[in-house]
Amino acid sequence: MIREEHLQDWRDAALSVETEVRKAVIGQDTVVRLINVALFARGHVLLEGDVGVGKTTVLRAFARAIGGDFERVEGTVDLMPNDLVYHTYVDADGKPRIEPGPLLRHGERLTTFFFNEINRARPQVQSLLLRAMAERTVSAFNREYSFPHMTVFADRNKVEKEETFELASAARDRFMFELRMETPRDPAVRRALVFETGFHDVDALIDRVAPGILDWQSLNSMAAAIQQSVSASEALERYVMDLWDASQNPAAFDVRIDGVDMKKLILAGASPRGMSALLRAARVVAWMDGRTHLVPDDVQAILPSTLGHRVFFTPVYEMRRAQIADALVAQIIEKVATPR
Amino acid sequence: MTLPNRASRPLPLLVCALMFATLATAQTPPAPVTAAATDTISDTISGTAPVAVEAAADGTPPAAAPDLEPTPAAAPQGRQAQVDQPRAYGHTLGDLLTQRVLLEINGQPVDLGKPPAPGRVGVWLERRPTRIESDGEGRRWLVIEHQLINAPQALTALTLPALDIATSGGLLGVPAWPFSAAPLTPRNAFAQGALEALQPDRAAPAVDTASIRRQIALWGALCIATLLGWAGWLGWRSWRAGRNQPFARALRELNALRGRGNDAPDAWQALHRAFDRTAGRSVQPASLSHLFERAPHYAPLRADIERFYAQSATIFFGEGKPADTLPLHSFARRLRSIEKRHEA
Repeated sequence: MIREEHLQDWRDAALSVETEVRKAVIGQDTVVRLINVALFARGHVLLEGDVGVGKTTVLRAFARAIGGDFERVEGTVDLMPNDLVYHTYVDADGKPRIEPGPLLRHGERLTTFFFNEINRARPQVQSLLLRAMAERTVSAFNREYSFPHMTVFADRNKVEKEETFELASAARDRFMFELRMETPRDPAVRRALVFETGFHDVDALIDRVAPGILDWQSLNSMAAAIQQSVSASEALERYVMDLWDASQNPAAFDVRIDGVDMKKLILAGASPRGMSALLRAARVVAWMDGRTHLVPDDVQAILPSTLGHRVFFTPVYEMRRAQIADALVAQIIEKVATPR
Repeated sequence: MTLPNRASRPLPLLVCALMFATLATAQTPPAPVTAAATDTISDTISGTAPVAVEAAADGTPPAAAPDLEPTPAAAPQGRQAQVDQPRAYGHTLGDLLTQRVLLEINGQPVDLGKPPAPGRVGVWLERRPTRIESDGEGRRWLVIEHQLINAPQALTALTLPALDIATSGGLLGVPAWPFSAAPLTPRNAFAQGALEALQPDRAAPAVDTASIRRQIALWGALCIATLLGWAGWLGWRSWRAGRNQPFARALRELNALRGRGNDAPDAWQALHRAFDRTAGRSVQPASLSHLFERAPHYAPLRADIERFYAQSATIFFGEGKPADTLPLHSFARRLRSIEKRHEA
């Protein structure tokens, strides 16, 4: 049984994970906070962003701060599902050898799995990964391998479209957050990133992060305790239901976007899985803020990252997804009133 | 001649009469003048203070009596001057009689010494300031103008006084000049039947204005009705807008909830909706800055507004009612007064 003092200790630990990661990554405070939230809500994260903004560095810093093993896979066109599971080769004695692939290699020690450029991998690979994400198990060699502490981070390359396989909407829905990592705008941060030599050596940068701040094996039970410790009032429930309705029928909440016919925009609103992910994440935000109840600001803090990739647009508007999704979520936050 | 002293007659009539007299001066045929007007002129003259009459040309002080006539028979002592005399007949009230005296003695030009003084000359005449004119041959003439300032009741013979004018060459004599003055109109023209007294002006025939009046009344009423309707509509619109303003509405809702206590959730929600409408979006503690950006006039109440949001969060999302809740009624009234001030 986890007691309140434990929760308090874990909260301090969670905040110090953030502090440590910020030693290695500057100018990405929101992304760092949301990744931390996802870790404690036990959700997977789809990272999207410019090239070379430090996605891998953030993840490596997190992996080091939480402890456990880090694994990274590059998505390519010829990558097959088996490549994730096992690795075949001929050894020095000329005998064929089969060894566990990147997914199985670390066993239960795997905490951070980074799939780079997931949209370059074929749908078969994506679906294997999705199963691993949903169930945290993989069948191989006639048995089940489980990695209960794994968090999947996938990166989607937004720049190139050739030889890519866009993630299906069902696949996107399995990620708790879709985080956009942009090049920092603050001139001081930009200057530091370019001129401070400390930021040029990634390994040295990662070494700045204090390792193993948490007991990563307790992360799951702690996440469950966090969920139980934070309550939601009736008014907040109404608010979240309104948000859900608004994601399905924005016109009813007077949500308007320039140049968009709101009646024809939405194919499907957020899924029940999406809304439960929203609440899980919001509870972690409240817990990190030292509260035992949810307030609308908790929900609003994670709504753009949770809802944006979960609303399915009609094909006419799908091409303008990035632009419309941001505007839609911003408008929903503006128009849905609470307490009601 | 009897001139009743009625100096209290109204001034406008006098002005009219004087204008008329000026017209008459322009040698137009005598126009009919009402008895009243004539009376007024006479009255005015008789009502004046005693007038100094310039006596003969020897410079002796004028007599003080107002009705003293200049002696018409008195011959001037100086040398007979060449004088252009005015017409002797057909003068009426207001006419100017102009004498032009050649400033020469024995064919020699002379300079004017002391000109005849302007002012009242007897009952009938007023002398204007004299002036000197030159003619085409370079000769200089002294111009003496007398205005007839009284109206006789019947045709009367009067005299321009004889004058002695002092010049550098001695006295220059201007002889007296008799002239006749006629009344503007007789008192009784025919003295028979209805033709006795002076007749009033014939009334101008009245044009029938009834239909014009009706039209003016109709269109005026329509115009006023339109303006009233317009003003009423504007007033009603601003009244309704005022009623619909966020905090006006919240205050009404709060008043309706009065019986249910200050801290009914509906009361808090009413104020939340008012803040949302003021900010044009849903406002939460984290987005309060939007409210003050959009409506900076609420900034003086910032502390209370923040307290309201903190307490509301406790009530709706947290552990329940906080210890000392904000008095919502007075809070809403303060917000409403700011809203009203800002609207004006």
